[in-house]
Amino acid sequence: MVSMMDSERDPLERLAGSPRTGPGPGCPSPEELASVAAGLASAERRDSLLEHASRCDSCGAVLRGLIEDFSEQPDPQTLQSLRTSGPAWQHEMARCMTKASRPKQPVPIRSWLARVAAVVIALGGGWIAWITWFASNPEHLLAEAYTRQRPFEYRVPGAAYAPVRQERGALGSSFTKPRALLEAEDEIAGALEKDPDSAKALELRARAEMIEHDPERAIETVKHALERKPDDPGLQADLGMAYALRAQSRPDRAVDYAYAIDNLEKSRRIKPNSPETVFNLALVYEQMNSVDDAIREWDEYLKLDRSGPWHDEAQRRLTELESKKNSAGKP
Amino acid sequence: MNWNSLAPEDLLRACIEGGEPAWEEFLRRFQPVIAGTVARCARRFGDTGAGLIDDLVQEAFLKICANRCRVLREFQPQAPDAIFGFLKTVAFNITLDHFRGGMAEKRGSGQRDTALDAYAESAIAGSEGLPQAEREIVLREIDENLPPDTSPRDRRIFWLYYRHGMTSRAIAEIPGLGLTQKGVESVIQRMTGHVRERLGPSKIEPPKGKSSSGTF
Repeated sequence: MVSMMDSERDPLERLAGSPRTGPGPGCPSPEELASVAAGLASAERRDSLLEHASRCDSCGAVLRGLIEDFSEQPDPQTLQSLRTSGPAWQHEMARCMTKASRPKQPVPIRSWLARVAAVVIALGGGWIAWITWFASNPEHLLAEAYTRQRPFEYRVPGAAYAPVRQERGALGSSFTKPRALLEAEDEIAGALEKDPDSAKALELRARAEMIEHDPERAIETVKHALERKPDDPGLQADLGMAYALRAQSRPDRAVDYAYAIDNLEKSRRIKPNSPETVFNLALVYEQMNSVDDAIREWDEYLKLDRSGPWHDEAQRRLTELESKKNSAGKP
Repeated sequence: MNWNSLAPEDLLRACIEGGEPAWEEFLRRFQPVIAGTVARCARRFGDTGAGLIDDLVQEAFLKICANRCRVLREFQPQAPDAIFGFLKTVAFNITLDHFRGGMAEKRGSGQRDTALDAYAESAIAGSEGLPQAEREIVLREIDENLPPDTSPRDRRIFWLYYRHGMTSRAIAEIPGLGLTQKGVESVIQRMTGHVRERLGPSKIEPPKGKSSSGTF
């Protein structure tokens, strides 16, 4: 064993104990790191994630924790103390899981009493239906999925605030996707099966594609939707965001920023007070290093959104741009 | 049917088809995997209560059977025991999400993922670390003095060991790495020797004492 004195002298041995910085915007999600520890990542992805983790203080520490947590044997004493280890709980859970895994069968109503009960339940449970619809609405689900892993800086309509978690290639297998995204995709696929040209379903599919870092496909999908509804401001804004994401992911496609602005401006002309559109417009100008335009748009945004975390992010970006502009002006 | 002897992929198929005895076997076989991962992950946040572990285990099973077992239907095992890794990942995600929720409530909607930070902090070696500035210099110096013919894999091993304090056994347990613990130790020893030669023995000592087996 290395003695305390040796350890104090040896900087190599003291590298691991230093304080860590948090994850950066380019860091993979913990779910992806977990896929490495679990042996679920493809060889290529595993090597790329290990390369990153070996040089990133935050991801390296998370990976270390995951390897420890995934390889240790469960403690028998802890397991014994759990209700879920007991046969009674497991039997009950097995029944639930059996029910949940079977396709739903229509239940025949045989007696008038059952019919009356069904009517009462239908009326009295109206609000439950509404809540259920709300929870399974793919637009809300996509917004929730975005908030869970905010995969890029641009805003998706209706989504609550979250810090940017990752920037590219992070949602590989269906397992690493947030559950809300999987559910949304299910609903969208169902809607498109019924009507493959539904503008709304195509719009949502495009958003899902963007969340999954596929702006190329998203552009095609929104264009398809625009054939049905050429003046829809939501579709124009989505197309603008998709172009901006493609420009960001492909250095040879900087021209897409111009298309992004064009489409976001079209959207704003039809619907001038959409905070998401103005937020995204300001970001695109930032990406283009068009500082004055970005400052103007952030100012505009702050008039539309007076408080809250999105407001705070806009304010922070505006302050940074102003200080950049001031320092550039100094001799 | 003898459910105990069923291969994992056959058991999954039987579960997806909705057989209650299959689910009973699934729970019997995999509850320890999920509960063990939840318990170890929760311990990193200082929570070892059986009540919480039970709740999270239950949530994990509900997630598995949600949408007519969508996650299982879409799961394509690449190896015979892949289901174990898959379920551990489900358990980890659910536990981390639980603490993310708790920490967001306590601290407001801050910019940082405080639960992930706490998880990372818990994994760092307890020993005294270098001051940040000195550490950056040492990291750069070492990086510049690694053997030039080192493969990317060996570099990763070296940094996982020294920068993140992983044991040689833990590194060897990374799926797909393709080295035994001895193999990892030999990589580290070779690279440490080279770095020590380049930077001088007084600055860097060979990696004694961090091998899990204590045989380094």
